[in-house]
Amino acid sequence: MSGKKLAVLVVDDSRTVLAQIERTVAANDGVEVIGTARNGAEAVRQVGQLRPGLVLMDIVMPDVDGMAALRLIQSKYPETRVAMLSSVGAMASKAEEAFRLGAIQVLSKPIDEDVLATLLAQECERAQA
Amino acid sequence: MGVKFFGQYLIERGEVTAEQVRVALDLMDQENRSIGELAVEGRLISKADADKVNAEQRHRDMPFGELAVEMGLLSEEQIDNLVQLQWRTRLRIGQALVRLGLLGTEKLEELLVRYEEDQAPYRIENLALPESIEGNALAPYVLRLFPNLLMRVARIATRVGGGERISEPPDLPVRVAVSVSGDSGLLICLLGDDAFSRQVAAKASGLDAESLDREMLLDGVGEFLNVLAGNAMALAERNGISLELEPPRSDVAFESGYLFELAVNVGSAGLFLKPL
Repeated sequence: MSGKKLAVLVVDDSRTVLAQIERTVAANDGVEVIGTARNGAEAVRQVGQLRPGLVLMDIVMPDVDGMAALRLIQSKYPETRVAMLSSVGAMASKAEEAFRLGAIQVLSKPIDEDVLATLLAQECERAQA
Repeated sequence: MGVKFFGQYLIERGEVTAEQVRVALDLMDQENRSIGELAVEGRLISKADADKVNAEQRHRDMPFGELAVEMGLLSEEQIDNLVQLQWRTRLRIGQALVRLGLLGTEKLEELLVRYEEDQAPYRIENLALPESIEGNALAPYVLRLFPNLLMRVARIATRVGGGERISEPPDLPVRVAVSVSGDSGLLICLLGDDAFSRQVAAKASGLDAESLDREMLLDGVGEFLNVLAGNAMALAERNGISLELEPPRSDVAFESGYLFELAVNVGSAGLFLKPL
């Protein structure tokens, strides 16, 4: 893969998940993690500062949750591509709400590394097109 | 693998895009009737009374049905019937995509069959359920999914024993809980010794087991509980049970509830459930 890497911001209140996602992302050549956040408010700030090519974000988080953050990100920085990655991602009500708010994909946990790798590859391709 | 909703399945397979799912959801919004609208259409209450309930909803964050019962406008049985009617007659995501010309009818049928096959292990009729607790609707899903997810996330084999009502917790150093609130609320608490918790946290994070501090052990076990609760909630939701998940906590006060013994091949552990 040539050219600029896809810059990813990872948002999850769990350090376990941050470590796991960083590992998966590191295995993909065209992708790099440029920042992490532990709640929704931090995520919105980081999107403003870092302007990532992709945000991977949890839904259930303390204080500002993922849905509220998604709403804020889409209203302030509508060009941002956000995929939700959550243990409640398989709930139709949550997935539907996320899609309505502009999420590009909703992945459920446990993380299926193949599905995540496919998403990253697609976003890389899209960013370089 | 894993529990998922049909729209996700279609996107993952590249059959439709997220944007197309969004358009289909808009169509569903236009077509699907709310409980209030169904009650008026079925002449169970007047439009004026439905408006009163809607007005009250602006001040109080409660479902229409609950408020209508409280205000003496509908009975609980009528609400149950309306919820079932809404569930039976709602336009579903696959049909909405067909209506929009984004998916062919035959293709939809073929994909639904494959989706059903993918989701078959999680269908309630295929679940060998342990004894339920106090009629809690979420607990059977939690108990059924537990061994499957513990193997998948932590590579730990387990057998869940019968539940026993307790008032004193077993003496295990790591204790983390998640609360699920809603129609069938449940406190789900996992207790483990160092070896068990270390393996859960290490496998879930991909980090070296020996390098993990106590905070990371609690975090790893908490994340496993998140996954367990989220997947159980997704299955319960398919049966019309509405639930919300709170982030994990390691400072739970122990009260009486049900302890399920766990026969695990790494360390020792127990699963504690308390209907909320």
